[in-house]
Amino acid sequence: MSSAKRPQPTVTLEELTRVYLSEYRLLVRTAAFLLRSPADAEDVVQHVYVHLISGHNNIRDLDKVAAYLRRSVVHRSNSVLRHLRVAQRHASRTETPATVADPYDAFERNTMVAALRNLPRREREAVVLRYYADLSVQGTADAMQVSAGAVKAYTSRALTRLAELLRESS
Amino acid sequence: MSNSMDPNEARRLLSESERLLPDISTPPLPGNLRTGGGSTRRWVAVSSGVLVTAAVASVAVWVGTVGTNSSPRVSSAAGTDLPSPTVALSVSATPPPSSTATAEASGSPSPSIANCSANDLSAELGSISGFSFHTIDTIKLMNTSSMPCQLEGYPKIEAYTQSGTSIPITVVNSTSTVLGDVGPVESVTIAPEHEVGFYIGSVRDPNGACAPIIGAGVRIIPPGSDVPLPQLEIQVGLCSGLTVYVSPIVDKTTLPGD
Repeated sequence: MSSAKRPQPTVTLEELTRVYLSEYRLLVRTAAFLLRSPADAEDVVQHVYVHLISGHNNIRDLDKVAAYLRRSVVHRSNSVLRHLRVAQRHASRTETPATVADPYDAFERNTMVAALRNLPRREREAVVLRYYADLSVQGTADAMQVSAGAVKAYTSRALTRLAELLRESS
Repeated sequence: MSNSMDPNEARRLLSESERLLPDISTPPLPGNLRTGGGSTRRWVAVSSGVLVTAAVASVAVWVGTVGTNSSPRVSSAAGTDLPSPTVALSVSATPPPSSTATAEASGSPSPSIANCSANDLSAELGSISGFSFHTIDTIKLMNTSSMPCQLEGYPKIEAYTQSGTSIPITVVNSTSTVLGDVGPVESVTIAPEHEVGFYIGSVRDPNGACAPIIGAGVRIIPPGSDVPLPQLEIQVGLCSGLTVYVSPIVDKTTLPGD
């Protein structure tokens, strides 16, 4: 005879929001490293959050929310990069550049950031998640939706390439 | 000599790089004070003429799907390209029954997310565009509360002089603007400290019959609410009898030209 399982309580919107707020800063900054335009980082994180809360009535496991947010930020950042590539291909020659001061200028001129931009996407993700977001190999694998072995390989290649790029730039 | 970067060196360099990022506004924790500092996101001004899709001052340009109400869904730039929360959140030590274990992103906003009230919002003038007798202001609405809230539809707009005297205007709601179509009317969920927006536009009388009232502004009443936000001075040249065109509230990323 199987005993009836007690249904787990639904995670409340307040609980989800609390996790989101506690992760917000790290998520935005992680996205800033992953994106070509770090100004999009906040949009990426909000997008992820809105997606999350749209289904919050059925979420049962609060412990998984932070990992989900990280994974979604990586995924969404990739979508934005893909969209950007398409948009650049079709960019009108009549477009005028923004004349406002860019608060991200210093960040984008940084040597390490420039070197990161030159890494293949997966290697960049691995380095940022491992050494900026300080995730474990498994946490990084979860966020990237790859195996732990793949994370190790990406990280190793990325560190080698970063060393080369930084040597070249100096 | 090693050809690879030491992981600790990578940490150090990333940490140094991170310090170059502007102070990204952090949404307030529930019950806590706001950290201030505003969003770092940029609402880049639309340069005049670049996005001209209609140069003729015509109501037909604006009147699109007035009152159209498509199936509500969470508004975002790319909709459903995220990994499904079903995968992410259904894992637990004791797998719950599959029928209740998932976080389906149904596309419909949760009914438990409250509508944004005037108390939850602050309004700010964003980019201003003007060409060929058209003036268009982008109005940004920020969720200043500590919880997400949602808006759907057209804000109600009332015009007032600086001293608070009502200015009679005609308001036309439309998804079409001279900058392009803002898309269907749909529910937009706003995270704390984040913004959505809408357009207010007008077509100036080339004969100068409408003399703009200096300092005039609008009071914005969020959809589903009766309470206006504090008066906001705008640049559409408000005058008595003016027709203004108002777009529905849309996710910022869907604003044409943004």
